[in-house]
Amino acid sequence: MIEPMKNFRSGYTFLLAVLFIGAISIAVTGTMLLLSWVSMRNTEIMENSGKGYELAMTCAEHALLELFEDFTYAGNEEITESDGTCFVLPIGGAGYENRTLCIESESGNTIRRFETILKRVLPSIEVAAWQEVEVFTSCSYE
Amino acid sequence: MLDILLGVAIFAIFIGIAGHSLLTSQRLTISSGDRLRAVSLTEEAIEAVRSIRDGDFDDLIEGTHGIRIGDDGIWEFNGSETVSSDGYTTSIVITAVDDNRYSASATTTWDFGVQRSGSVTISSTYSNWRQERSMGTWNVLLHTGTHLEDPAPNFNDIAIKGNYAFVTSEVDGGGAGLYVFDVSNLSLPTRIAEGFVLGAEGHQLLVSGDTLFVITSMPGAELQAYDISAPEEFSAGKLIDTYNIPESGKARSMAIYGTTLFVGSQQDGSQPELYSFNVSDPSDISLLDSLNDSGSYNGITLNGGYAYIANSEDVAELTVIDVFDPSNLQFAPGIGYNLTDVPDGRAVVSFENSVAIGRSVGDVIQELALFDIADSPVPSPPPGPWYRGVGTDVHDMDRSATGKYIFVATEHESAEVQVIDSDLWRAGQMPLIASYDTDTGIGRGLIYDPIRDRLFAVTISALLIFSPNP
Repeated sequence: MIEPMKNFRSGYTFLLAVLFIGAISIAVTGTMLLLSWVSMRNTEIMENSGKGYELAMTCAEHALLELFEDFTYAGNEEITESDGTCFVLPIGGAGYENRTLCIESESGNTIRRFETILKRVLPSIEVAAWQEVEVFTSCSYE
Repeated sequence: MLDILLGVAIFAIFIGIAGHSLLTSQRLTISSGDRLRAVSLTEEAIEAVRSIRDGDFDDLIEGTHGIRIGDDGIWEFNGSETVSSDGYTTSIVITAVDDNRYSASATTTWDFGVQRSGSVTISSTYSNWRQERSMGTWNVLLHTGTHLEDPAPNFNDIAIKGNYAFVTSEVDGGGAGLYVFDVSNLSLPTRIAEGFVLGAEGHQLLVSGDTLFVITSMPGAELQAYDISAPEEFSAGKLIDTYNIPESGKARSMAIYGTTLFVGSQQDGSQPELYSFNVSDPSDISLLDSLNDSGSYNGITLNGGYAYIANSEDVAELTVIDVFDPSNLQFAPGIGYNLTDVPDGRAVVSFENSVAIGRSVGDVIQELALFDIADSPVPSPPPGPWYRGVGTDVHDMDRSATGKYIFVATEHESAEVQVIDSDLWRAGQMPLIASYDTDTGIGRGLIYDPIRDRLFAVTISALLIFSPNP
């Protein structure tokens, strides 16, 4: 009567050990899968970020040329490209000097914002500052 | 025995899941790495093209290109594709959009075997915004075109939008109040929208984007905004909003900063003389603030967060208003500059660290004054001020793009339009370098058009166009 109980205990222990090791394995592999997914998400964000940057540059260059060709250009314009959309906020300032240009682009879920301060517009555009910002301080969305 | 079999089976399943998961994880991680590397190379290619554009816009050539760093250390096109040392192939397709724009699409592809291939494409557009506009020398006023209106409408002011000029006038002599001219032919400006009548005197006007703002004497609608997105179709139907400036018909001057419009008014004992408006939506002009003063605000220019006013106030002909917060207008510390005697400030213009004011004629004054505002928003000489006598009323002023030249519309009988060299003026030398004598009446208004490097002036009866020494 003692031997069957002993065998039963051994099998039970083995099964528990398998379940324990399995649980650890699942946790480890789950973590690995999660890390891989995070890596893919990061890559996707990096790609969208790069596209967003170029979208913003597209809008900025568009606005700079418009301003160069007509300094009364008021901005407040949306441009849609295959990679997303970008928005030229209302141009700050007036005349040929001290103009502010703010650009926001959106590609996927990535938003990038750039502020450009122009020292002068004519006879050639002279940029005083060109920086990426988290929140616009020189322009408003009006 | 059954337990062991069950345990082995479960273990095998675990091992299978774990193995597959690990392999999947490895594949995904490698795939992410591949893609990230491709994104990096694609961005590099796009920025390389920007670098080439920065060197010379003309170096952008339509077609499919590869890139490399040349012997001189700068990016250049090379072949039709670039293959990196780790096996990625990048090519850039450049297409001309118009004379001043190219679009580029950079694509990086890779193929490292089963489930390790792909492509990344990033696009951008480059414009020729780094070009420099050639400007002539305004030591002569070359008269290139005239439009004479008969009977004389008593023109007041002028604004330019592309190939169109908008001119305000009085109405007593039969003037329409607002005229539109096609100036695409600079030798022969022609009036369009001849049926349009403003119905009141038009005073100062300005263009912002696709909107024309006009100061009128119309009671209840002193400030008017017109849609001029299609100037050739200008009509009364293009009126998009009006605003009733308190005290009927007293508004006179105007300036804009972004989406904030400032309007100056003639003196009134009970009503403000300066108003700020939010015009972000020109069809819904809204008042932000106003400021009361004891003089007529005949001219406004903006510089560095301050509004410089040509004022009739006898102790502050140049008045300075802090407009950093247009919802809270307030006098700058010191309020303004008291010029000799009491003739009114009539026109004002600013550039960089300078402000120039023009006044009504006076027996003991020089009508033009130039101030340095580098160290203080309210002029605190020295240096300056520098003076220049005109011998008659100054009606309007504008400046060239660089501020070197100041254009002045006067009542002078033989020099209605004058050009002042600000550098000579500051140096204490004779600043008047050119003038024009017209028999079409006194100079009333003018505007410099930097796009075409032309000066547009209006007199009592004519629109005159001038070019510089090329």
